[in-house]
Amino acid sequence: MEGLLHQVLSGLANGAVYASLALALVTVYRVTRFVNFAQGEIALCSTYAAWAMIDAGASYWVAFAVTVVASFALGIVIERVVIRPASRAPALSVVIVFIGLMVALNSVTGWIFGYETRSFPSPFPAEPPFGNRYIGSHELGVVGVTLAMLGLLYAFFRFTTLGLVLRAVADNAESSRLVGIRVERMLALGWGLAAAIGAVAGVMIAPVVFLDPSMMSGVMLYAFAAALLGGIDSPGGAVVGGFVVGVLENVMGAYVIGTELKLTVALAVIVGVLAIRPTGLFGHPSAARV
Amino acid sequence: MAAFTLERRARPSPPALARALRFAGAAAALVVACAIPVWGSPYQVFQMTLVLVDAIALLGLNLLTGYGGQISLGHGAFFGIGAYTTAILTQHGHVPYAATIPCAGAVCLVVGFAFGLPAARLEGLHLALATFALGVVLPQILKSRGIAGWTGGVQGISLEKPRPPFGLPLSSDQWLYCLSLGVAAALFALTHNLVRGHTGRVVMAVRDSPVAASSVGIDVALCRSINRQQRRSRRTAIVAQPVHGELEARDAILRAEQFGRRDQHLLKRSGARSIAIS
Repeated sequence: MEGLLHQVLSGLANGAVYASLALALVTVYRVTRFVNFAQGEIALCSTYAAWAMIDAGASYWVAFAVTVVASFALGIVIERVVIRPASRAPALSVVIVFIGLMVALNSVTGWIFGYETRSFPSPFPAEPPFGNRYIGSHELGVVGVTLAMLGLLYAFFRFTTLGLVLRAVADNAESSRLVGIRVERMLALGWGLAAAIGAVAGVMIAPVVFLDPSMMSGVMLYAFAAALLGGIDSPGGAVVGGFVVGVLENVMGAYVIGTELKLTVALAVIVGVLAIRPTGLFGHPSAARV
Repeated sequence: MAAFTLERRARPSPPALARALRFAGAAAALVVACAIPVWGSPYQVFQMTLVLVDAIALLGLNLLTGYGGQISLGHGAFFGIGAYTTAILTQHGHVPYAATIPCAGAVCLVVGFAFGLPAARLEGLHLALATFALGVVLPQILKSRGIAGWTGGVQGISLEKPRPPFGLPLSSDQWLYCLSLGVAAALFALTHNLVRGHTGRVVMAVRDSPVAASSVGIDVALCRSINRQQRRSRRTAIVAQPVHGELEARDAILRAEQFGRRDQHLLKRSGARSIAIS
């Protein structure tokens, strides 16, 4: 029983990271109708940038803040330079653009920083908090940071004019343009936000999976599964999906299929959701004119 | 599906000059292809074998994505399955190398159809996601401890290059090249006929307008999974071939990269890395 509780709690910590990345995916999907396959590699760049700053002697939280801001800018640049020219292309071309972006970012990161596995510092103390035996400080910290970020995002979308405008563009770009909203700027803003969210997720997961140019492939697969489970157009669903997938992964890995086959859980979730309920738990069915 | 036939579009016959040029080009390519194993260095022959292997892989992808309009980011997974089929059959079953190629094709056909049936109901991005997941997951499955007795786990399987049969006076490299060339030529001919025939037209109809195709009685999902399966069988052959490549147990990393580049990077992750049977 104690073991199960431990697995569930550390699953929630991983789930927080998956939830963040799934939220980044959903943000991009809602404003552009694309699934950003390169999301993980953008987060990878951010994580390496944070590592480089910390390695050069910057304090952790300064590096964290600079990374988030820089990632926001990177997201905007990527949207402007790579994505916008392809925005009217068919789905296949866009997917290829994303794959190209993913390979390019991955290779550039590996080229600059090397392919060896490195450890990444955690800002939280090494011993578990309050002398409990179930959850480590880093895991608790990850959940806390994620929840704080989700709260901020919710407040941004719910209570600020800019958030309202962004929601309007996500809902109906054409009408938004007609009432005078600069849709392109909002798309860029959405990409920037997604990249910043991804940066937080990357920095939070790096102490767990270690820093390595391929660290994001598994993490992103869980994030895709989380986003699909929650419904690819539902931000709340992405968060719920993230936590569910995180717990499911840990519990299945510990008790049912073994840690080696954990990724298969993600595949099963993806195929299962797509086959049984393609809109996910909280998504909306989409209709297309033929 | 069979009850439905699209009308064959009248095709203007190409002018005589163009036809002659095309014929001359094909003949020249054939001569060059046959000359390579005779005059090329062993390394060049091996390189050209890899070119042929890549060509077969891309043939499968072209059929699936180009003619069928279906995105596949998990192409490498089938590549890997075929390669492992060949490797396991030669290693554990002592089946002659050339005989494993159709077996690998059959295995991939079955697996491709099984995966294709649910996946075929998906379109665009969802299909991309599902196949992406397959490509990332397969290496983990292949390396898992449960089947490590067959697949060699993380070590993989190293094979020896096949010797030419019937005492033919060829080196292993040359024999591998000839085999790849034969398989490639046969598959290209088959694919050519396939896309020009009834099946090809149905496939293209489903690509161009799934709604219209289903309204004239084509079972879209079935047709797609059949496509898939066909592609896969092709791939399979492909698959079998990389194994050839794999057999050269010289520079595993280099090889993995060579194989990896083939279908963009995903292959590298799924296919090559898992295939990299060494």
